[in-house]
Amino acid sequence: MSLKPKTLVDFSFQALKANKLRSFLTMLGIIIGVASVILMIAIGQGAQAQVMSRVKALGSNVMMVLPGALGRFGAGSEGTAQSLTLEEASAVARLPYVANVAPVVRRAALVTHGANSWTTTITGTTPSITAISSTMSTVEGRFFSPADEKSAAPVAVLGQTVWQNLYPNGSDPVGTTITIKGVPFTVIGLLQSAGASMGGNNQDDFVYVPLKTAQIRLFGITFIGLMEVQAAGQKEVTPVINEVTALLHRLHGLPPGAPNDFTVRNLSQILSTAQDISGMLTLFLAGVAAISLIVGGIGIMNIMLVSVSERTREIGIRMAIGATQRDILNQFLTESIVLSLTGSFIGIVLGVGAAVAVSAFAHFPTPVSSLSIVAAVAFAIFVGVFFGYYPARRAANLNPADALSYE
Amino acid sequence: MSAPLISCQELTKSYPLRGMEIKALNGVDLAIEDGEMTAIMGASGSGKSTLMNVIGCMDRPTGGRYLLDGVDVMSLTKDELAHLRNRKIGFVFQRYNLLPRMSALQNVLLPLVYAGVNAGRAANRALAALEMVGLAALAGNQPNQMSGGQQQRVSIARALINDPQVILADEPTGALDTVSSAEVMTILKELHQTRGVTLVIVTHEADIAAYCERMITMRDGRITGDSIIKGKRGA
Ligand SMILES: Nc1ncnc2c1ncn2[C@@H]1O[C@H](COP(=O)(O)OP(=O)(O)OP(=O)(O)O)[C@@H](O)[C@H]1O
Ligand SMILES: [Mg+2]
Repeated sequence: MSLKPKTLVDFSFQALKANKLRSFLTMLGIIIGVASVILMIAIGQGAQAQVMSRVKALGSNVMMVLPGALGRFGAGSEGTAQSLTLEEASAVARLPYVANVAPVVRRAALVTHGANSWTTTITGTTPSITAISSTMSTVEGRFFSPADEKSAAPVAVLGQTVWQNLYPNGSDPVGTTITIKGVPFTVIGLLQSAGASMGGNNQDDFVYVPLKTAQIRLFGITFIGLMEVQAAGQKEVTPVINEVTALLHRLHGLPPGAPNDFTVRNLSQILSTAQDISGMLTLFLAGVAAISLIVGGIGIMNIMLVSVSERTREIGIRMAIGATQRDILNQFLTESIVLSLTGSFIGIVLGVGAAVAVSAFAHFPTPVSSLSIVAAVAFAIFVGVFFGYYPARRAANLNPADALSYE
Repeated sequence: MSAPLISCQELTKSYPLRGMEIKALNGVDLAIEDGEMTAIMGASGSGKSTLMNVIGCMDRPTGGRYLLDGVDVMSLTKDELAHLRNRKIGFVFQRYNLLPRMSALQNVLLPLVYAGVNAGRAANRALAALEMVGLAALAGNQPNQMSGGQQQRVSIARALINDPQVILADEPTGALDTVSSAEVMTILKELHQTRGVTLVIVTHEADIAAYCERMITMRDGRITGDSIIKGKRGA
């Protein structure tokens, strides 16, 4: 006959309440450990999710051709030069192993619908962008067609953020008229949400119009801002980069050996590296946090040892009135498990709260995974049992007469 | 005549001390019948508490034989000893030894918790035991809210809660004034007379020993005197 779990838990709370401050300080190690495991995993997974959504939005095996030479900041950027044209994009599209090419022009502009206005980025591009980027699909209406592109039709496809700001009542935008820089456009589609990208860029804050429309009706330009090039497969990425570089070098009339006035960036590779790094980062952060859990466990063991020696007399009394060794062992083991479990529950609340706060104030997604909570609690129980066993065993092995006469 | 409840033969208990051996018990032969009320007296260090620990199954003797109610205690496991302490033996200590931060009621019913009695029945029995020692009104008080005499009565209630065959009291009045001592002894005597509980009481005071029917004297780990001071069950 040994004590019921409920009785053991009652005993534990009695003992822990008797020394509230000490119990709290003992739990603090576990609280901090669990909270940081949850928060760190959430941050790590948030970073991974952003990279993933960027990869999805970008498409696979994609490189970006930007005007301007490799600059001081590592790469050229859109708008610093005017060296790319639609004809060059067509030439690139004819290269072997090139699956898709999407020329892109981007400018900020004011968009209005009725009384609502919103400043956003206008992206002029061709329908081939939808083949490159898997997130570029509509939830309402349609994307613009090659015919729209050919005729420079005044049609627009809205991103979610733009829609939310121009249509605050959430009405269907398809078929309505908006103005971009004062020019009327018919809305023909609404994009699905692509989610936030790294650095907090909102990938939904865009209006897409046909490239030709953007060049002629909005910005009065003939060049393009950049082109996205998709290779046919992963193996073809490097040959395509070389081909594109050679082609543009020739088309720009640069002498052999002269520096390029454009930049080809292999985005897929950068992103896959970022993905690896963010995965490692998650593991690393979780590992550091787990170490703090172990430190918390050592704190529990320390306090339980103190507690056993302080309560030697109590142990003697309990043995005198009939507690078995198992009763005493279970009592102290339960106490350390209650400590670590209570600590881990507080830690969960803090960790989840911190994750929510981070995502609210730093605009960084921190998805708390239920797995990380389960893992943290399981680890905390393990810590409680592992570090509680030795002190409990010591208590149980006391000789009743010696324990009772302990000063 | 039936076998004695407590039967010790050639009991020895020695403690190692700086390479030497202290013989706290040095060959104790003792038989106590069921229903006796016995006092043990003797100088400090004569081995009284050591003997009580052995009789109470709190400690194992170094040598000799000890039978409790016919059972050879030396052959029992630690769990069986715990069970025996829980069911057959009640303890009353000089320093009361109630658990702090627990009410009188909780203290009294603790042996029942270890016996696996369900909470409702345990509380009723504990209340009845407190009634018996005249402290039902203080059931909710914690030890630090009671006088020494009251605490000792609570500990008597705890000792008798499981209807033990024997109550071992090691200097139960050692820390009490004369009035509280008399109260405590009256309760113990009453227990003995109404329920026939066997009582073994260690004391330094002759007037406490006078409550008993038999007096044993110890010296240097041996029994040096054993006399009937009153007829059984008082006169
Ligand atoms: N745990 C122990 N370790 C070493 N020696 C001990 C231990 N317990 C008791 N002794 C020794 O055994 C002897 C008997 O001790 P015991 O406590 O039985 O005496 P006592 O008769 O109860 O004395 P008192 O009247 O002072 O309570 C003493 O010499 C004591 O020092
Ligand atoms: Mg003593």
